[in-house]
Amino acid sequence: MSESTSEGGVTRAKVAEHVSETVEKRARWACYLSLVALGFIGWSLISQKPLPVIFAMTIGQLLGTLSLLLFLGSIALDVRARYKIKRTDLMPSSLPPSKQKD
Amino acid sequence: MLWHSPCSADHARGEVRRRAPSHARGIVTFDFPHLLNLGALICAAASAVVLLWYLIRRPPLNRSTRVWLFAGLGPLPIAAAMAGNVSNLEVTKKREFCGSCHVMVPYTDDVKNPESPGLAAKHSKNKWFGDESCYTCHADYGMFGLVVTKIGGMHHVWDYYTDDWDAPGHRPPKLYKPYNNASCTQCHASSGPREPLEHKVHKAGIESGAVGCGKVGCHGPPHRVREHAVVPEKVEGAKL
Ligand code: HEC
Ligand code: HEC
Ligand code: HEC
Repeated sequence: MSESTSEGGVTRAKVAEHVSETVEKRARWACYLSLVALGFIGWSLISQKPLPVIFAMTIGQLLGTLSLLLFLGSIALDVRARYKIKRTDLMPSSLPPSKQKD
Repeated sequence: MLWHSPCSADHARGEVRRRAPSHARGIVTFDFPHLLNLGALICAAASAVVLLWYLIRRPPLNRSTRVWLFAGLGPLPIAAAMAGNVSNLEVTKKREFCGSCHVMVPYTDDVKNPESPGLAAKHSKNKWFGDESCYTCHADYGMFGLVVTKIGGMHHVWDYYTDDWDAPGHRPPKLYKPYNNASCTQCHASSGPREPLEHKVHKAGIESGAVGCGKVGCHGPPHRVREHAVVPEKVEGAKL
């Protein structure tokens, strides 16, 4: 944040901070979801009975897929935000007016 | 008396050993579902370690952390789920699995009984599919064939958990629809030089399904469980 003194710099730093917070939060959620999914899958592997098997193959897979999507989505968000920030570095006026006021 | 010969049991055992499918026990000493199971567990554990490491240590989300997280959220759990599915689907074909709901236990007990004269019991002794005999004869039942697409197969599970099968005088399980003779004819051509007269007489009925192969008077009853017509008290550890 060496440029935090410049007007645009404060905005960019804040945006960047917000983005990275969101990204980290989503990544953590992806981990929680995935751990629950792994719990179901692990349960079915240890006790191959009707209910565990059904849960693993339904809820387990659903949560597992969601967690991966959430993680990939958050990375995409991050990449896009970085790209935008970089671009506004070149063209400061292109930041939305509301954010420029901060 | 289609394929029966006095020495068929011993003979068949020798035969089967040579062309044993993966699930025949005792031939390939480590069995396939178990290996898969182990692999799946290892992948799941590795994935959990990565995820817990991230959650506990909270390293910055830099490139290498992302790669680790991706491995822990993508390939590792996917491998665990896929190996787990295969292994679980194998297991759902097993006789013991069918017996994990106590309503089914009279049937699994009957086929386990070496003295049982029932058709199902006779089909449960050979090494080729004896282990999976219930599933083999009731395959269109396909409870877990493809869980997501065959939601209809969940009928049994639904019935099991929504009904009190232990209630005194509860009716025994019954077929949802008449037994499909095609399940028998997938293995038994039922025609040929030694074709019994009954088969010829009932040819049309057998093909249309009007005459069930497993009916009393033909080859049935397949299951000698009627003495258990009212499901006995819960079998220890059978439920879930
Ligand atoms: C030889 C093939 C065969 C095998 C093996 C077999 N069944 Fe059946 N089963 C049948 C046939 C045929 C019927 C239907 C008889 C009829 O038409 O009434 C039947 C009927 C049933 C029914 C319906 C209720 C009844 O008594 O008619 C249940 C439940 C059942 N089987 C469960 C099982 C279970 C559990 C196993 C494994 C232990 C098993 N079956 C193995 C052929 C088989
Ligand atoms: C979740 C517990 C459960 C498991 C596991 C289970 N069953 Fe059943 N099954 C039931 C119940 C409950 C019924 C009674 C349905 C009725 O009569 O309404 C039933 C009925 C049946 C019937 C007669 C109904 C029909 O037409 O499908 C067959 C055949 C059968 N089971 C075979 C099997 C086989 C083969 C397996 C193993 C692959 C198996 N079952 C595993 C609970 C179970
Ligand atoms: C997966 C293949 C398979 C299916 C399905 C199958 N059978 Fe069989 N059946 C066999 C084999 C193998 C034997 C010989 C068993 C032995 O002697 O060990 C046999 C034996 C028999 C016998 C002679 C039994 C005896 O008294 O020795 C009869 C009768 C018979 N099957 C009828 C049926 C009928 C009826 C059905 C359908 C309900 C059926 N089978 C389904 C493979 C099958």
